[in-house]
Amino acid sequence: MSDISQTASGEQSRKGRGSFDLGRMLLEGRAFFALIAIIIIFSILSPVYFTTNNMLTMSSHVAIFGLLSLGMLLVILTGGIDLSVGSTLGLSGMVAGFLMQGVTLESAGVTLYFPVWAVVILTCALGAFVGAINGILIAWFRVPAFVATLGMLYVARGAALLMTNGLTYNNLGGSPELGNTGFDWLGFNRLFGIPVGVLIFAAVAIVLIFVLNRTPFGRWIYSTGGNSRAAELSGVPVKRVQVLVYVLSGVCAAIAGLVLSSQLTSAGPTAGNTYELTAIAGVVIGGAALTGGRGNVRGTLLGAFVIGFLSDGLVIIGVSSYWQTVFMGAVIVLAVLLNSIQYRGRKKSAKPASGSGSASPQSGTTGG
Amino acid sequence: MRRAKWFRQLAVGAAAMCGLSLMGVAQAQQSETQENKEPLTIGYTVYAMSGWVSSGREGVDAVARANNVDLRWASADNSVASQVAQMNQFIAQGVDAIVVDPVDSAALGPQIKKARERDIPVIGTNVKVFDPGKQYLNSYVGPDDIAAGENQTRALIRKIGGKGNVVILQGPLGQSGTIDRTKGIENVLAEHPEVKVLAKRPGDWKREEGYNIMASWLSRYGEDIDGVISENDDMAVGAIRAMRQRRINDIPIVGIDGIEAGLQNVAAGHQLMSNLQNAPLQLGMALQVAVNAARGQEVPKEIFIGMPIVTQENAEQYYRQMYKNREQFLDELPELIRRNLASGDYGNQQ
Amino acid sequence: MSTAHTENAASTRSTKAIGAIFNRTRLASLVVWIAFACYVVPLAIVEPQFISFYNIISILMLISVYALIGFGEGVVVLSGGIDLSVGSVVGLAGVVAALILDGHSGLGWALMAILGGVAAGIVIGTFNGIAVALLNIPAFVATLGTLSIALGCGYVLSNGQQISINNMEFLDISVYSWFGIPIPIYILFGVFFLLWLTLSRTRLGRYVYAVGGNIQAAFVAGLPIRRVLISAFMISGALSGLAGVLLASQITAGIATTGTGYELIAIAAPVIGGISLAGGRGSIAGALFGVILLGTIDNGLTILNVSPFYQHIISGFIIILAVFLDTVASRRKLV
Repeated sequence: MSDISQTASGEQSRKGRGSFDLGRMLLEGRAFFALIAIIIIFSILSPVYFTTNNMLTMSSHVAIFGLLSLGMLLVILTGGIDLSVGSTLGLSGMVAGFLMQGVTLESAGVTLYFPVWAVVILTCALGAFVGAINGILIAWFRVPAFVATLGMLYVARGAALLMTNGLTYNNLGGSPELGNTGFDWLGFNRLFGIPVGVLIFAAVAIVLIFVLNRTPFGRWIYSTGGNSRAAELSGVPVKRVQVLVYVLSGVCAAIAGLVLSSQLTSAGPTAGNTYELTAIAGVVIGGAALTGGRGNVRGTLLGAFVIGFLSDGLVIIGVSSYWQTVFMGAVIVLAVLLNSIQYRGRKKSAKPASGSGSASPQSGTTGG
Repeated sequence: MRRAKWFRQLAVGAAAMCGLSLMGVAQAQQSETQENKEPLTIGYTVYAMSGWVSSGREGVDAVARANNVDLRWASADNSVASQVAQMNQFIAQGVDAIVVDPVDSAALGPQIKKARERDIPVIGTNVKVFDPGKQYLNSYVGPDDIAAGENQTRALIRKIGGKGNVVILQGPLGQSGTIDRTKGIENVLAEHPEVKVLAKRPGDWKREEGYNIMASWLSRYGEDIDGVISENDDMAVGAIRAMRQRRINDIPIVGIDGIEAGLQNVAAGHQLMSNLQNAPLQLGMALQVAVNAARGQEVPKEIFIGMPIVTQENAEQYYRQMYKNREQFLDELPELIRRNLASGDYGNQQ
Repeated sequence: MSTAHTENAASTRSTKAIGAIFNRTRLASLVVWIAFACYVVPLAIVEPQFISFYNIISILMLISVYALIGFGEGVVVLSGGIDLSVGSVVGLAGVVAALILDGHSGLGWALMAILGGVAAGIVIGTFNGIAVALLNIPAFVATLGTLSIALGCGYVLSNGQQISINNMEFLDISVYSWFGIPIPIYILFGVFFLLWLTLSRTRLGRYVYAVGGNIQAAFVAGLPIRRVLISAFMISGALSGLAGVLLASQITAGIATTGTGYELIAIAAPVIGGISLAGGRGSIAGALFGVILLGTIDNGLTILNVSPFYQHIISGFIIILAVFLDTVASRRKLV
């Protein structure tokens, strides 16, 4: 609601979905060009940067943040925010670790070992549960999203630490006698030479593209974020949509937790600490607006790759880690600056001098 | 009607908060069980509940039980400001002694000084305290990080035949553990000019960082890397996973700490060696020294606990002692600590 | 001619809006204060030392650092923005102050160091303000960028080392007391009073509420939106810088990483105290209250010797509960 031309362009892109929208292409183009520039510059600085092997390595690093960013995208599209993803990632890894070690039932005196597929389902269910609490607090109890998920950040981290009193689960490989091998297949192993984590990341992205573009639920997400009051009046089940996006974000975080634990074959309670900011940055660099209603999966993928390829590139060319933090910050600002210039140019032509309209992340449409 | 609802919600909120505060009380009273000696109240503040600290906590609890100590445990969650507040709080409570595992070596000077002015002994542990705080410490109980860095580097260089290229995974820059372990590594590297350091980078003690950095290095240097020095086992665990992902099994890697996964890796031959930094022993010994100081006994100014070298031969044995038979180890720990303090062989594990 | 008219209309409107805001926050914070009392009173009965003079001072000392960044954040949030860079600025300001001192003694150098630390904060704040107001970068991203940049600058300047401070006058800031109360606590309440005056009694204050409440209306009314936004970020930067200087004095060193993670506390405090993240609603007293609540939770749980693992969970629940009560209260008022 903060800016007329912004809302209009959001409207347009929703209508023009499927067809060819030049404005949107250009907007995404900025993040795309940033990614191309990063790849070219690092390839010049180090010949090994642009090799298949390194690309795959970097992609499997991107997959973890990228999964969080994809879940975050859904939440941000509805005008919310989810700060609990990093903690949910840690908690999910711990629960997976707990299940893989075998659950001893005191009363029956037996130890249950779950097959990996059951562990995956239970862990995702846990992520969904954490997300559902977030969603219910936000949609039904009207707690601001920032606070509800900030609280959940602490609660989930505390729960993860409590599970083992702070210790790490090792050796999640399972053993053939117990029939629970295959945990390595969740992220560590390679299929057709590609790390499974990257394949999972790609699969989730494809599903979300389909959901956002081809289903009523996808339309509801955009309209909830664009103007929740109007959406409600036109029959969108706004509350259910809000709960569902947090559930999906929780599931994405759980999947990321599984991939990370599989890569390291261990799960620590502090894993994923402060990942939430990186996840949000990926979404925003990809052109989504924190006010909701604007953004898409392709942009978010580009954003995640910009961040991952840059940080790994700086390691490869051996930039001091002090300077690495400076560079990361500068590139985040630059990438988004390019987006903003794009917007300002269009706004000037459409309606002069509504300059600072998009400056502040106001969630005037959260309906609280 | 509305009013009633409003009050009900308020009542629920209030009840929840009261419940929470009572929960804490119940916990606080649990630790006052034994009666063999006059009870002491000791404040123990740690930088964060990392895996290593959590593992050490069990040793601290065992020593507290054996000495009839009402332990006040606080974690600063890596925030210097919180730790300053916790120190002040312990002083305000008038505890009998304070043990501090600092967030930062240079901080806490004024708080330590203030505690000493009120006759509260302060023991530093795990992370060194620099001046001006250092002069006011009754004692510092910590690992011999320099020796550990030297040991691991020597073992690696022997393995690669005295020459070749190595990469170094460091801890967070500026921390005393990183500084001392790096110093130890550099001491030995200086004796071997044919060993070249291709790259070094802080992985902040984390497995995922070890994984990511090692993966990038494998892209950059590939087979040129002859050996990896990791300043702790967690980063080594990550680096080993990254190597296995690239199907590389022949680059030797050394670590420090002897965490569970580290001991297993050494036993399985994935990791060349480690140095056992026994968390329950070290953090427990710090508490024992605090107890001794609070009871007016003379305590050594500095206690450096040597880290036994873990190789494939003895890794299994340490693993059994530390993890498989952990209950037994913890039961015997207070006695072991008392023996070590008496003999001066602080790193003794039996 | 017509500009004067609109400005007048806008200021009447914003004054009216501010009146409504204060009414609502007063009721809202009343509810949270009651909830707060329900937590503190049993605690004080079970552990009397919780309300001892020394412990209250120790809580206020902890709060003094968090409160300053919380106040700055509060102003930015009122103007409709958000500032993630505060934690990094705390570290950077400490490093700058320590570098200025660098072995020099005397009051003059101490003052220079304080000014230097605050100036470093203002530089970052101005940078944030320009990025947000002039370059139209969303505040979340711009300040996320400066979070990295300020932290990196701190690393580069200090070379990753702790820089010890030996200037006695500078160290005295956190040690010296008037009437048994340490100086940072006077600074805390002084800054609070100044901000309260600025926000409730000056034109800048009205503009902050107006811009945060409805930027479109503020634009139509011809308010200097850009200058207001830049000022808000400069205030936040300056206060974070001041917090960094105080913390450096408390811990006798400048360390780049000291403030890491403080941004979440800084944002949580005003939000718990009833400042709306959507901007334009709430008061600076709310930010103070939020910080006090967070400070007493930590302190109380440590006094009760609750396991740090439970501490996380309990803090999380109390944050959600406090804000939930607040929203319940403000919704009733709205109906």
